[in-house]
Amino acid sequence: MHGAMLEVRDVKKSFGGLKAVDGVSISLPRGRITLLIGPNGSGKTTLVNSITGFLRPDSGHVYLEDKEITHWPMHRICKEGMVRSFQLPAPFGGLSVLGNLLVACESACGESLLKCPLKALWKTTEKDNVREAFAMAEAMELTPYWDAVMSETSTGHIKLAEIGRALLAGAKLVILDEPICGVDPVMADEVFSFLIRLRDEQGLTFLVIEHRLDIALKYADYVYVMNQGKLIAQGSVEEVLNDSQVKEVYLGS
Amino acid sequence: MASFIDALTYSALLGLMGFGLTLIRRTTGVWNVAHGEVVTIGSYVALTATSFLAHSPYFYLPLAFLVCAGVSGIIFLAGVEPIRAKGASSILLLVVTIAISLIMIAVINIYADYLQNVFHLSSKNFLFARFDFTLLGQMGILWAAWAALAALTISYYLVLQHTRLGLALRALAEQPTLAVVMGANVKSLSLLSWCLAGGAAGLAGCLFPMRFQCHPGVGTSMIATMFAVSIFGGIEKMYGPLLAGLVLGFAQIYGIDLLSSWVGPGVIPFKDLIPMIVLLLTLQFLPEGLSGFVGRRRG
Amino acid sequence: MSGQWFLFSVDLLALFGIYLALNLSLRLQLGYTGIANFGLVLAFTGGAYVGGWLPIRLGMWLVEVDPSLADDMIWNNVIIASQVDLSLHGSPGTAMTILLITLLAAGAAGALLGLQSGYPAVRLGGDYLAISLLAFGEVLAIIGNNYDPVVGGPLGVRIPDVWAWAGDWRFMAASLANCALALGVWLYLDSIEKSPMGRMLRAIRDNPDAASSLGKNVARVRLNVMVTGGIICGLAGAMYTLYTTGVAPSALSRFDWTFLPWVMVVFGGSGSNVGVLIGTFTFILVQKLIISYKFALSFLPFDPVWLQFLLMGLVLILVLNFRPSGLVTEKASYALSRREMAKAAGKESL
Repeated sequence: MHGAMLEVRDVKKSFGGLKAVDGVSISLPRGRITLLIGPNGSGKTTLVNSITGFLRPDSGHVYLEDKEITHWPMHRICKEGMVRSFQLPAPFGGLSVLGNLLVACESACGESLLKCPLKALWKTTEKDNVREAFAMAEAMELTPYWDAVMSETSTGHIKLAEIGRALLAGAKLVILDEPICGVDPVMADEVFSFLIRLRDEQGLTFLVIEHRLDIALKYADYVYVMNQGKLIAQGSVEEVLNDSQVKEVYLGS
Repeated sequence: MASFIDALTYSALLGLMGFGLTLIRRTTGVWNVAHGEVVTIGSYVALTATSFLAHSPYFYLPLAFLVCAGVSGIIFLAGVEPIRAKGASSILLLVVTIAISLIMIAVINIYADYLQNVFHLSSKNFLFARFDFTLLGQMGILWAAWAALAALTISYYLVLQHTRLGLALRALAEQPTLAVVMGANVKSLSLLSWCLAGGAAGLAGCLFPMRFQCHPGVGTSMIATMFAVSIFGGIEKMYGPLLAGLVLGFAQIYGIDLLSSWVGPGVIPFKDLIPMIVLLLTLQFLPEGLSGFVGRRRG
Repeated sequence: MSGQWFLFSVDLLALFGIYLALNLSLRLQLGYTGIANFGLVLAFTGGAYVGGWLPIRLGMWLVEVDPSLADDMIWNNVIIASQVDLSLHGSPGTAMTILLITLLAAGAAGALLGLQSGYPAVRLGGDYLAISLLAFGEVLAIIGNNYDPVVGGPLGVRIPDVWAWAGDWRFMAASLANCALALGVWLYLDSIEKSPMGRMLRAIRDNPDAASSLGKNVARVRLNVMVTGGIICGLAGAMYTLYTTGVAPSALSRFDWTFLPWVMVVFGGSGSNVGVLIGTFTFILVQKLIISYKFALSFLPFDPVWLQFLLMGLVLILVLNFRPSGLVTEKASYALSRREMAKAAGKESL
């Protein structure tokens, strides 16, 4: 399928004798929120890790906007417009909320050991970055906490800031690994409404792994279901929910 | 031939020293820099006991084992555990053991000075080769060192396997998360492993002066080599140090002897580079170590 | 001020400058980037060896010395050094040329050693990296102690005194130069603090995977930091050699140039320049006092120098137990001032 945002073809990854991901192909259309679900240990996170350069897949191919990115390191993949978050909260604990957002902004001169002492070289870029970071904080209603140390804020705020970071890093495709894990229901709905807004206003593409189907399914455009390293179903929310294999996996009947 | 026997002896001592480092790292996730000083204490137990109470140093092997097991246990309880309980990172724990190592260096040297100044013992440089016996034409140290290492490794694998305590300790060493799930008392098991590690170091320290010159910094100067033994052996399996001790002991003594007969005696002083090079190569190309590599090949 | 106290203070100042530069290099690696460099002694030794090897050869080349002496540089070491000294006495220009070239070479050596030890190490995690660097740290000591042509084996060599021209003020000049090096490193770290670099390094320290997912080339940045740290250590090593006008490989120990800096930095706080300064000054002072008052403790049945080890170990344990981030804790700061940020964000104030 040409023109897809992300095309994953027959990716395999095993650990020792365990086939964590056993030949999975998925395709993410642009401007959609795609949900990836499955029971614990079904290989969802390993799949994401293999796609995003966190792990090296044993075989298979990954194409981002028709460009092959298999085996690329994470930082290079980020520059191409695909950014991921992690299952466990991954704040830069020693920085403030704004600092966390600013890390994602690029500052070629300011982030060079040779050039950083010369403020004139990076001052203009930094001002733009600060403006963008504040705008992001505003959009995510994080402004009141902008100066709080990240390690001392709530999980919900950390998760929001992580999405903000991904966007500031220039993501066109954001892969979120359990973005509402450990977040209270009200905040969880807020996180997803924010994703919907980004999809509609900026045409961003999302791949979301989530356990809490009650909340996540309301917002998904398309769903993939994994079990024991393989894809067992895909389609719209309704199609997937009526699939006999999915019922079997989730309800055990 | 002499260097072959020396290499064999040295290998066993290296294996004994590495055994403790590996065990501690496996069970508690700490690289114990103070392990070198525990070895030195073993040597000073032997020196003190043989000087004041006579008898052969072999007679005091159990004493060295107990003293060093106690010292190592105290290091764990008083130094490491309080900070580990606060969730310190592995780096911070490494720094803790460095701090303990500094204190022990001071104590050992003060003790050695004291022995020398008050009792006029040659405590800064000693060798017990004269006390050794011969068995089957070889120095007793060869047999003793290998007996100690073999007893330790075999008892670890066999005896411990048949006791409940042993099973829990093995679980902690080989599957730490499983041990927690099993409801094992992790703290007392950790203490036991530190004591066992210290005991092994004590045996090595007690035997070391039977063949090699000892001084207050003997363990300190060998700590990097001990790390090489532990990492090269692989921390996944407790027979790793035995394997690595053999390879490194031979490379450092027998190998360098062979090499010097080819390229000249100029290479001998650089024998201490071998463990460093092996350590760096291991970290780069064989991060799971020898035993991990052997285990992987088997399946 | 009596002469003895003057010498005490000047020597204190000299050591302080060297250690402060070294410790700030550790702060850059450990405090900012999270690299547990237990091999500081490596680049320091590299710089010290350059300081022991190069100046005497530069001296022979720049001033008139009996060329037949060059047949055995190590054997004739003291004669050559004193002949060069005589000429340097009257020519500060030549002396400073030697100093500059030596520093350049020492910085290059430090960079090379940082690169060489960092390249395999940066991909390793946490304490494995620390052990790997600890092992690297031993390598130069083994070579220097056993291979005489470098700097004469364990007992070392004497080198020409590049500060000889200052006459009676020689020690003062050398001490101030050491402090100038520390000041330079201080200012550099301060500029990192007040630039986007500081937050990127801290991001890499706090969560390398997340930093990598945001487009930061973590391995490259770590390597660059280790090279920079190596340069600083190399410069410190050379300055130390030039100050003491000699280098002895047996004196460049893991204890003095890796563990002691760690104790100072962990004690003072790796997150702050001021903390590092406090840690450095405290321990240098204690060390100097113990050495100076050794004679007063001669009634003890042991060498009082071990009290220093005891004290350091105990202090370190106490700090790790009760204040693991050190005396002075890290403060998050921004590259721009609050006013500049408010203006950029289009707000009245923050």
